Amino acid sequence: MAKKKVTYKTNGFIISNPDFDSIRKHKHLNLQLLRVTVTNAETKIDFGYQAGVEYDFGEWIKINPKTFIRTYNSDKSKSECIGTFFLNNSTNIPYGPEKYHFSSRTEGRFFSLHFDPIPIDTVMIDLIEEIDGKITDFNFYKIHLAKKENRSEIY
Amino acid sequence: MPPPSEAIQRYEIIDRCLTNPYKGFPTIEQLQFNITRELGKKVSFETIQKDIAQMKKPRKEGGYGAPIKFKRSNNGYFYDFNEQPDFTIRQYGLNEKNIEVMELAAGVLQRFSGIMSSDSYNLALHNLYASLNIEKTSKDNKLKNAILPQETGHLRGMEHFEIFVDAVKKEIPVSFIHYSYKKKRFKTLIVHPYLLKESIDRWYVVGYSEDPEHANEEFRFFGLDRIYDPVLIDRKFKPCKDTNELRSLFKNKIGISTINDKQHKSPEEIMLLVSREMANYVKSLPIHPSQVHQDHYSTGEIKITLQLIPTIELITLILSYGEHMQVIKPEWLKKEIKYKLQKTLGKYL
Repeated sequence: MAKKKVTYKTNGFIISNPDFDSIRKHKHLNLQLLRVTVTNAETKIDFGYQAGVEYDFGEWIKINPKTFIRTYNSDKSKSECIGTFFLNNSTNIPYGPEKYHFSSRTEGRFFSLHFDPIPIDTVMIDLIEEIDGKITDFNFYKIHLAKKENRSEIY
Repeated sequence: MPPPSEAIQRYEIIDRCLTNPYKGFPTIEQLQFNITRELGKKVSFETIQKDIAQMKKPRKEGGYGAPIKFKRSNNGYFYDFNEQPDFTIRQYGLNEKNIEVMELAAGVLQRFSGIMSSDSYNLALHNLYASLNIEKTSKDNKLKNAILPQETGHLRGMEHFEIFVDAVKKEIPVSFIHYSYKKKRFKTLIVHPYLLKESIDRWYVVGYSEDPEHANEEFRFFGLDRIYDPVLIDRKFKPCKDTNELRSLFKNKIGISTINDKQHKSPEEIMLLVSREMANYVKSLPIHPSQVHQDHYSTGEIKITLQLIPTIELITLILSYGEHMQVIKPEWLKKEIKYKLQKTLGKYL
C-alpha cells in the first residue's frame, strides 16, 4: 500500500503504557511495550525486555528487518487497515539473523523500533514482526493511540 | 589568590554606582547603602576603602586598573574618564587569574565526564575563550597537569543531565522510561522534576510522578542511570509545594535513601567511636555538618555525635570504616551493623 505524506502542526505526541491485544500479553511477561512516539519525522516504539529463567536455555533478542506497522482510523473490531509503514532502524536490538545475547538472568534491556511516520489521526496500529507469527515473535495487535489518558503532546 | 566572590560582587556594585550618570559623585555612605541593599549584608567603610584600593591596582596584581578618584568638594568618588574614557570593570570580564581558577575548576569538574564531554559544554568553553580572545597554549596543559581529580567510571544516564536541568528551570514535565533495579521492570513515567540531587557519585531526578502507584507521594527519586529516552511534554506543570522544605530534607541525611521503618523518619543522635588511626581523618573531613566531637581519649580515639535521619548510605559508610568505627548508639543501629558484619563474615567462612 502506498505511503501517505503526513505533516503535523504539533511536535507530535507520545502514548505511555499503551493498551493492546497480543498473544504475548499474558504469556510473555518479560517483554514490555512501553511507549509509542508519533512525530512528523518517525514513529518510534519503545520496549523493555527482562531476561529471566529462559536465560539458562540461552536467551536472546533480534528483530526481523521486515517488521511493519498496520494503521487503522477506527478501533472497531472490523475496521480495515489503511496503511503500512516499515521499519527504518532499531536501537539496542539487532536485525535478524544477528542476535543480542543476554549476559545474565538479571539483565534488562531497553530497545526501540523506528518506523516511517504514520498519519496523526491514526487511532490504532498493529505491530507485525511475522504474519501468522509464533508466540516468540514480536507481534502486537490493536495498540490504541487515541486514548486521552495515555496521550501527551511533545513540548 | 583571586578575590572571593563576595568581594567581586562588591566591586561590581561600586562600578555600577560610579558609571551611573545620575549618581554624580557617590559618597562612601551611598556606596555602603547600595552594597547593603544588594547583598543583604552591611559592610564597613574600611572594607569599601579596601575594595576601592584593590580595584585601582593594576591587572597583574589582581585589580582592574580603575581610575577611581576622590572629589573633596563633593565628598564622593568618581571614575576619571580623562584618564580612561568610558572605563568600567565590566569591560574586562574575567582576568587571567579568574581564567586560571576556572580552568582548574573545569579540571575538577572533568569527573562528571558525561556532562563535561557534552557538545554544549565544549561549545560554551570554546565561546568563552573566543570572547576573551585567549588562545589555548601549552601553558594550559601545564595547568591541567597540576591537578588530578578523582576519576569515576562513566555513569550511564549522565547524557540526560542537561535535558532535566532544562526541564527543572522551565518547569516542563518529562516522559521517560524507568528501569527498577529492585523490581527488574521497566515503566513509562511522567515526572514533574523539581531538582537534580547528587548522592555518592550518582545523580537523581527529584520530582512528582503522575504514576498511580506513586499517588500518595509528594515527590520521588529517580536515578539518572535508570532513565531512558526522556522527552519534554506539553502539559501543565505541578509545582513543588515548598522547595525550601524539599531542600532541607537532605540536610539531615547522608545520601537520599530511607530505611523502611516509620520510626526512622526524623533525625536521631548517632554516636560513634572512631579509632586512633582514623581520628584525624574524621576530624579534618567531618562525616556530616552536624558532627560534634564529644570526647577525645588519651589513647587517640574520639567519640563523635551526629544528628541524622538514618539511611542505607549511612550504614554503608559506617561499614566502610571497618574496625575503625564503632556504633555506640542507638542500639538498633549497633544490631544492624553487627548483623551485616556477621553476614559478610559468613561469605569468607
